[in-house]
Amino acid sequence: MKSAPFDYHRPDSVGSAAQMLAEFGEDAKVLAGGQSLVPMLALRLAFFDHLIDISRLDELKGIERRDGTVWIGAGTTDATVGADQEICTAVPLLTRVTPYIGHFQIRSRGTLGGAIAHADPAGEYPAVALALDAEMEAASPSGQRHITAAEFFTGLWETALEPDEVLTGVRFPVWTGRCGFAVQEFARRHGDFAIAGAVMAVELDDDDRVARCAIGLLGLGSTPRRASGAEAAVAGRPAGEVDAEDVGTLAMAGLDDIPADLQGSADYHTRVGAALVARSWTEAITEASREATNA
Amino acid sequence: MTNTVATRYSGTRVPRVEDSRLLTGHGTFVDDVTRPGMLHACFVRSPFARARITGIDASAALALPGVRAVFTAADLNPDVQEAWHAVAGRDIPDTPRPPLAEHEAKFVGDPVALVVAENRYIAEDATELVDVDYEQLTAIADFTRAETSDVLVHDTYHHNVAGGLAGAPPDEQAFESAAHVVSANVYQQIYAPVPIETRGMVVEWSAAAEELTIWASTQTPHELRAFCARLLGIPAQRVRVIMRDTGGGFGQKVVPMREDMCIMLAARKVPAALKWIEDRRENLMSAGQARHVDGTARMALDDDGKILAVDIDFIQDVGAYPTPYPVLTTAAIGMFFPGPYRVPKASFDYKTVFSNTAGLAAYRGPWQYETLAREILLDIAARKIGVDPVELRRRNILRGDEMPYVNPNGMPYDHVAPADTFEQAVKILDHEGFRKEQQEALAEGRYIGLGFSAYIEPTGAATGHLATEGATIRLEPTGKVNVYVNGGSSGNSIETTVVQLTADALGADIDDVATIQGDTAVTPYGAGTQGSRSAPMTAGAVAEAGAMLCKQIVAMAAHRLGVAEADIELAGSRASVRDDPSKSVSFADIAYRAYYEPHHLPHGMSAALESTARFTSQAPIHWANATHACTCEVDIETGHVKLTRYIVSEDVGPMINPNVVEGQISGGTVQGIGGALMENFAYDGDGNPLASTFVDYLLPTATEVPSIEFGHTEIPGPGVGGYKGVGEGGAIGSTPAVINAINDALAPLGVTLTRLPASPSAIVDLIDQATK
Amino acid sequence: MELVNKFRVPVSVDQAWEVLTDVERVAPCIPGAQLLSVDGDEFTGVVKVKVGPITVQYKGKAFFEEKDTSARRAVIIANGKETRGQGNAAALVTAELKDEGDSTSCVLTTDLSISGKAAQFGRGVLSDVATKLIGQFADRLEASLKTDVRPSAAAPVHAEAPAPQAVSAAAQPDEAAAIDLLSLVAVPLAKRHIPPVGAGLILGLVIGFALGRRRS
Repeated sequence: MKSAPFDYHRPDSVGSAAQMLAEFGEDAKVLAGGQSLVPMLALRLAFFDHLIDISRLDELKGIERRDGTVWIGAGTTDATVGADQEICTAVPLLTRVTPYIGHFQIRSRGTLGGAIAHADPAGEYPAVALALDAEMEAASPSGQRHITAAEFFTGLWETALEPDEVLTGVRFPVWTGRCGFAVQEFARRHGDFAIAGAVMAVELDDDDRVARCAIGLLGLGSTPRRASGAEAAVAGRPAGEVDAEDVGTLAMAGLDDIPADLQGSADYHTRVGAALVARSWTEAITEASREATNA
Repeated sequence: MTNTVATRYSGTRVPRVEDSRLLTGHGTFVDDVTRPGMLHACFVRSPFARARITGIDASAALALPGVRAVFTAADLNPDVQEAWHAVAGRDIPDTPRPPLAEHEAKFVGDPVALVVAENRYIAEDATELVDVDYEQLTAIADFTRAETSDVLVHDTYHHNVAGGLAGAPPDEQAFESAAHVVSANVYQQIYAPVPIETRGMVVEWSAAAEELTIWASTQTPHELRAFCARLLGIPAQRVRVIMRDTGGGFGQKVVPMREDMCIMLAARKVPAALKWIEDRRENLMSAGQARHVDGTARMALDDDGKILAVDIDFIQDVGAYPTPYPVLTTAAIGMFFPGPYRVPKASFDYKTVFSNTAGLAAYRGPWQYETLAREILLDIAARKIGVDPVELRRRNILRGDEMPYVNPNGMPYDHVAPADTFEQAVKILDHEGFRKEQQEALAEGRYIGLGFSAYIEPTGAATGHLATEGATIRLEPTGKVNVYVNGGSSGNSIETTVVQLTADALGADIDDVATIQGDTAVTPYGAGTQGSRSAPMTAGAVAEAGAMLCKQIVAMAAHRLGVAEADIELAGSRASVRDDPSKSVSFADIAYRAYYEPHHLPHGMSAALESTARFTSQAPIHWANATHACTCEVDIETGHVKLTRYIVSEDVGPMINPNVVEGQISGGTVQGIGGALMENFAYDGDGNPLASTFVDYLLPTATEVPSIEFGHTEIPGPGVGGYKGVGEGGAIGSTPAVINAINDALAPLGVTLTRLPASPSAIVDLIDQATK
Repeated sequence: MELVNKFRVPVSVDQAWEVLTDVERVAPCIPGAQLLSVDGDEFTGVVKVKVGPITVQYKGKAFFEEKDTSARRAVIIANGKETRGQGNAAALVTAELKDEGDSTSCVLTTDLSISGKAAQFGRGVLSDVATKLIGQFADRLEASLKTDVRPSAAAPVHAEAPAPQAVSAAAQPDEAAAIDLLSLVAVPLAKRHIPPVGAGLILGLVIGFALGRRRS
């Protein structure tokens, strides 16, 4: 399993990296942690004449709290994200989902930006970004722009990034108030690709009614998915009156491209998905209920 | 043997001598071997399960800089002189095994051409450029349909049947009149050995000296040498195989197969050493697969749940290119089906069939299906009769005082007490405590279960070239000891156990003993490691060679110390007078005199401090036995199985090294757990392998397996020291224990799983069907 | 594997038949196709399929095995070899048109067989690519048929002049729709005058190049 030949580049800035992408076009690929790309190259499923290594660029690293959001540099490793205290309090879904990403060694090299730009439908960070309506920041030779999560994931391993754009950072909104969070993922073994998974954030008002709910699904389509139907159905309702299994069933209702693969039929993925959404609901509501009411 | 030596190291947990180099990354595996000017090989492989090969155009590949040669069947195959294997013998008509595919590719991954280049990167680039014209043909990938298929894998085998065997027909009367009869169709999937080091070798032909040297990843260096010499028609004296470290074999590296043949054949056509090391996809797809049996097992029992008769009728998939000789090795499934139980009557009938898939390898406990089918069936019987599976086994399992016991297929069990290992497992598990816990869990809506599995296995079978083992022990001029045995150390700690045995045989300090193995130029012939033979056989060989050398040491020491030979005791690398330990002489001094001052030896005394023995096993089989017990919890929404406890209660006789015994059992057990739950080398209907990387072919990891608890029972076997083999048992008893635990957990839902693997989706499906 | 695609277009069956067997109209519907040669009823071409970072390129040939004008039925056999690596895609495509008065319904039945690396993975990531690609082709073909403004009796147009029109008509939906489609990479059709490829070849190659769904 040796990759086909390629030229290796290590630009010293994001700007140069974007220039190279523009110059080499579809023959070039950005290399960050390499945890998804390198196996594809070694298996000769992917071929690129030029690899543009951005893994050492400091401008892509960092975690900053700003105006009700947390900005995370695209080049920040999964391990750093998972261990960060700021993220733990401000965006707990990221912290809780990180242990499901592969194994320790993978997380030490893999990056948050890489995971989001690779956009694997069973990816943990893409599902969280989608659930929380995160905002992606991208840079190209012609400037910078922001892309909302809702527009970002366009297909199987496809994003709205242009060929000459480098993802530079992701901005996650911070949820405050009586919030509860849950991550439920099922895989054959620890670290394997999810058969199905749910990431959930819920906020209760002082009367224990659902103020808002966000549900991200992984492994249940060709992209991460939002269970918007289920979210709408629970909004405003007293938490205690919502049946967890109903949330699960509703969450699966809108999905139209659930995979069937060596792990099981589409029906099987759906059942697991529904069960995991139900479990996350219970977990998230329990956590939110324990939060003190706003005085 | 006189009373001169006390056992000091055997039986103790001596740290492994292999570890310091292996754990620091200083092992010498095939890929660590570099030779001057060495070239690299890579195979072009068929993407079709079955296709006519109408042309191979290597011009683009040859034009790539760094490519030295591209070989096809026409270049290599005609050079084959003889291609028989010792495991089958010269006279058994073997199944086809051309080095490169000739005219027709017969499985996805079938090697059709060999590229040789300056490095593996270029070689892989070149394999892309080899243009092979294929005419795709319909393939028969499903072995259960092979007998009636229009497609023939090999023209000369009608109905795709490689062979078959039947014992005496079943006694249907017994089944008809029995109080209880149970039957189950048990289907076992393909799973594979998956050694951490893939197959490979470096072959260097020295044309001037007409000598061939092979560095190989192998379990059988001497047979590899013999096979190579036969294959190429060169004298065996001119072939040397060096096996330093091999990263796992499990049966996949016992016999050199087609790619190995190609490298050996190509070696004399290239100007430098030729290295081949396959990648993981190649290993999974073409290195030999295992298990894959479909059969029906039946059991008749009386009112008290005593077994009256058993019958098994099955087919085994041997793929396109099985290792030799698949028909006979499958017979073991039938022969051992009665297991460690009191069974008056048994019958079996089987066929081995070809399919357009890789080919059967003899994977660790290749007859494992017999234990799988029987143990699942016993649990089914227990539930039908309304008796705890533990109790049903208790009523039928053989006791030590019933030995020797000839099973209904003529297998003469002895030196085992299956009831003892069984009861030990029950005790360690706390069976009654678990049943209580199980009821409480069920009340909470949780499904936990326990599964038992008992087996008896033939280790150290002394047939043909397996029946003897050689050892040479030498006291070096420095007084240090070297013991030479044939080799096969592939993770089974043979270096350590041999050193322990030798230290004890001579009364040497273990730090003074080293071993040299795996180099055919310096070690005695041996069949290598297979069939769990290494412990009993090396123990025998070392004991004989050790006794001879002891005599020599004692004679020299007695003379030197001026006492009778009977007064000498050997311990701690010294020879001492028993009643006056102050009078002693070190091995170093004895050696110095023998090698450098032989004139001080008495007239007529040989200066030899070296012995060579060839031990012939007196026992045809060394029976070993174990009971595995496992508890699990099943998540009925996802189908996930979590193993909570795993117990192995085993009897391999006295243990040379408990660490080694536990290591061997653990490794085999984990492989069996993989086979029960997650390893599945699935093919689609067209014969495409779907689990060709570790993303899809799932091995258990440390997070899926609980700590394995051990119970040891030591019933000496018939061999020297009473040692029995331990290599395969773990892989035999484990799969059924896990399946039984799942079935026990889901019994309240009416679920019985008999088609493996017990994947989460399969479990959910069964629950659905049962609860409709 | 068998794939079935159906669509209906508001044109007469004669018009639809003409377009279906008119390579110039059909070529722009297939992203990623590059024709190499045409020889009577046989075509050779190269198609590159991209699914995220993964690419597979096939070089192959196709021919009309059957063109039954009266039954409005065309059968194309297509076969392509991977240009890098040992792999293959083979397709038998049956296209049937049915007269529904003002409109025509079209049924494409594809019998597809993929071999090589693309077919050797169990993770279902590639499981719906074939369906999507053919669906994409079918959508574009449908769009192309709908925008057809030539009288149905017109002779088949030549490569140069009308091709850019036909191309750009299809290309616009392509560019707009590309966002949520797999980015199949090829020479942008709007910018070059590639000789068009037979409908069957394109469909066959596209389907063939699609990385097939595999179940155990």
